[in-house]
Amino acid sequence: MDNTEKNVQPIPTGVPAKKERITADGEAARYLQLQMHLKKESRGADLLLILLTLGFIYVMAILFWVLPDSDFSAQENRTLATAPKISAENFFSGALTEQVSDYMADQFPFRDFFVGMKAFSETVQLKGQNNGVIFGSDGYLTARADYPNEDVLKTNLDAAAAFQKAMEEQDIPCTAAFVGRKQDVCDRYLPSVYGSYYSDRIWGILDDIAVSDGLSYLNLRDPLRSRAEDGEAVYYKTDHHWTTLGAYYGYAQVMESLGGAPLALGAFTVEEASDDFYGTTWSASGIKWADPDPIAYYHYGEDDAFTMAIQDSTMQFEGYAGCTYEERDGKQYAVFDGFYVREFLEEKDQYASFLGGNFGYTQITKKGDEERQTLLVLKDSFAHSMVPFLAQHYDLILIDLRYYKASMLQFCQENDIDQVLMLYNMETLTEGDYLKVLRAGLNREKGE
Amino acid sequence: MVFSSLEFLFLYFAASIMIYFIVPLAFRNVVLLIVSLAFYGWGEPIYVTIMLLSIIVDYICGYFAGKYREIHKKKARRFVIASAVINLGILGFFKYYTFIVSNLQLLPFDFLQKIPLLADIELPIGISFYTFQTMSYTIDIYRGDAKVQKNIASFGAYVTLFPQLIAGPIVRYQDVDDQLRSRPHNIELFASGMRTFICGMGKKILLANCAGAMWEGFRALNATDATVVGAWLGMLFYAFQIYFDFSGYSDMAIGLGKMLGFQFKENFFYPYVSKSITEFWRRWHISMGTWFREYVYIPLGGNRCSKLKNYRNIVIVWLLTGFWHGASWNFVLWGIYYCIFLVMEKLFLQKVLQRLPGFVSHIYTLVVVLFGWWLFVFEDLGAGITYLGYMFGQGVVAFSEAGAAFDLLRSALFLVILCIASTPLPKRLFYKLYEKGKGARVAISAGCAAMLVLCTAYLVDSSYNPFLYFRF
Repeated sequence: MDNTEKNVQPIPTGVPAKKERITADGEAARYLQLQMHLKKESRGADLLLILLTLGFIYVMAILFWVLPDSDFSAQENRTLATAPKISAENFFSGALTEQVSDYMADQFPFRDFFVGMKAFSETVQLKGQNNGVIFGSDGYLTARADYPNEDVLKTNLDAAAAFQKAMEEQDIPCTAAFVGRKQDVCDRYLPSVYGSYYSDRIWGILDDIAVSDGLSYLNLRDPLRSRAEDGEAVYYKTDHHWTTLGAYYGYAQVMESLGGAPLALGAFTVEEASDDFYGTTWSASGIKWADPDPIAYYHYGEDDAFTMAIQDSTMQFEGYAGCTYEERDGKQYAVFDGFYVREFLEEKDQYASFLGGNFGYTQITKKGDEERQTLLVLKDSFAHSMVPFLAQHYDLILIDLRYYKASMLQFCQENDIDQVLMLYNMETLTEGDYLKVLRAGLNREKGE
Repeated sequence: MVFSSLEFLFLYFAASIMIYFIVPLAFRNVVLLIVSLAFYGWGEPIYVTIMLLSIIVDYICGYFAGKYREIHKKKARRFVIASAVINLGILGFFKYYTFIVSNLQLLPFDFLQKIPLLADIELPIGISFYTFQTMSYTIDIYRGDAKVQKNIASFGAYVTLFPQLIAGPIVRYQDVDDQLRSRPHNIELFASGMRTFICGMGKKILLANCAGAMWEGFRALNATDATVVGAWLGMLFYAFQIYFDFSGYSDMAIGLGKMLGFQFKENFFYPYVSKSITEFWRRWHISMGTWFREYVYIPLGGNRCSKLKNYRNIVIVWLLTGFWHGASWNFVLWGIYYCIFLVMEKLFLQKVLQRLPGFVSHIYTLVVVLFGWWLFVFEDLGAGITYLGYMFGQGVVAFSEAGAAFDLLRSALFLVILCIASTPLPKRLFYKLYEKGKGARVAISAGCAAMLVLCTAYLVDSSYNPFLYFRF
């Protein structure tokens, strides 16, 4: 403290003496008095404050105008809002206000940096969670879903049961296999108070519904959970999917259920295709300082022995290495050798390198004239990393019912399907009634 | 537009403050009027006309009330009544029409059923605040507490003044009368305003929004996941949310006002440290309490009349206070609820409380306030009763389970922060530091700037920025 300050008496002080009754305005007045008293001494600090705050505001405002807009955020996997069109109609309806708000939020300079800063601040406050992602031990990031929608689950399972029954009547074996979410399987990495309470509950409900519907299913949560308990990396730390190792364990169970013998783990050669995969959970979490996951491809023989044809009217793979487009029955198909679209390894969404991401219809066949059974897989994206294993035994048709809406009963009859596998993860089963479409055509068959 | 938004900080504030300080002193009220209209019109492009109407009405009524108050008291009075009728009419129509009609239609008279419900009237933002402000002008003139403002731009600037336009504090005309004519603009005041603004922003964004996000989670509790712990935790977070939301917003308004040279009165004074409900209401939303005291309670006779009349006055004020908070029965009940405690304290409870140890009366106050917020937050009384059931173990799945336990654990530090931030401690600490010397003051400046950056980070991160007081 400098001397001039000490010599001035009396020094007004912002803190009232004890026992003194003071009002809000009294306190404010004291503070102002103090401030005016320290006017000269505090000028430097005041100027610094104004410089820093207004400086920050104006620099960001100018950068917002000057920096070019980006159209897409790979982090969030969504298109960003761009400059709104200004019109009287837009303004008076109030739409413009919202559009400007979205535009600013989406195109704010150093957006990613700020998102990370917020996540850091939440971490420092020991909040244990950010944007719905729980920070688990050992770097595991897990999307939190306390109690998912039971009714949606029931709708989906009812439809699956009806479809299974109809398939059995057609003498087409139909296996249902349900995969756990990361919070179901890797709960040992979750905070212990959170644990597996909700998982156990919803899987209990799933079991009840399956029993009452007469749906026979293969539970892939429990075997993977015990693998996770043993410390095996069956799910990615930064993504919601299972790893290729996890998918292998799933495949081994599924094969036994389909009546075949799975290949031994040792029979595959493992290629580390990537060591810098940051998944979707990581994007949501804002935790910029997390370690990435590796992605492994498991090879058995030559992948080139297989042909993958993806129905894709948007021709999004045009120009990709090894991709040719073919027209069959008036529809465009992207045709690849093998199961991988390695271009995705250079992008944010590296999991999409398995089968090129989500599509409604994908067909996988083995070259040559080996006589093989055709397995129809009704699936979500968890199936993608299992396909390279299943393809060693079957020709595959993969249908994602979220994008491909048609009667599957009819589809099986028209495409000489020998077996059906419904492979779904708990999240898909509880998120939307995607399986309802399985009922299409079932009643008509019975003449109802 | 709310203060706690990117477009406010980096578009509106950046532009307005620059224009304001570039133009010469003589034009600053005009600039203030224009930028404030832009502020309001941006969010309410159509309803801005209602505000203009309210301005013109009180400009005229105030003018004549001032002209006649010495020579023809009755005539002057008519203008006060005209102002009150028009302002309350506007407020009544936009805020209460649907509520009143839908309740009248519960009565078994056919003609009532024919009244159109007009259910799609939207509440113009801030209408409860600016109608009260314009009325106070005419009344102050009539009472001789303020001088007539002949310059309509200056009067318009008072009403539309963007810092307090949307959520108060309710500034009485007599408090800013002189400031409208001349006010200081200097570095100290601007810096002080910036500190207050950033402090308010921190309260709103870092505390209220985060507490609000927790509350929203618990509010959605239902038969499949309700727990006692969760329900209590939820109410607790709501109590913190509403305090930090509202007081943070008031601080931002006061800070912005200071930057522009205005001294607004404080609106909150650590209400959660109160040791009685009477004290709580001296510390909570002070500008609203003052308004009702000055323009309703005292004109009715206040406490300078018979005991019975005094209690009647208290009841009227609290019914109105409750109803002012929203057109719904729960707000009326909320007003009555507080009225009961205030009357009880006046009768005997206050004396009892004073004899009890401080922490007991403090706990009493907090419990009463907490259940007050329960009444306040559930407009649907049925949902409120279900939630109250959860708090006392009715219809819950367990006393506590994984989610509630985890939330309790992970918000432990945050709750401590919220508690400390509700007390005068941080401000005392700030004063101590501020007096300490140059180094400390430089550190405060750097800290404020860092807080601004952190608030920006929260705003960028999240579109979660609901503003609670919009329905006022």
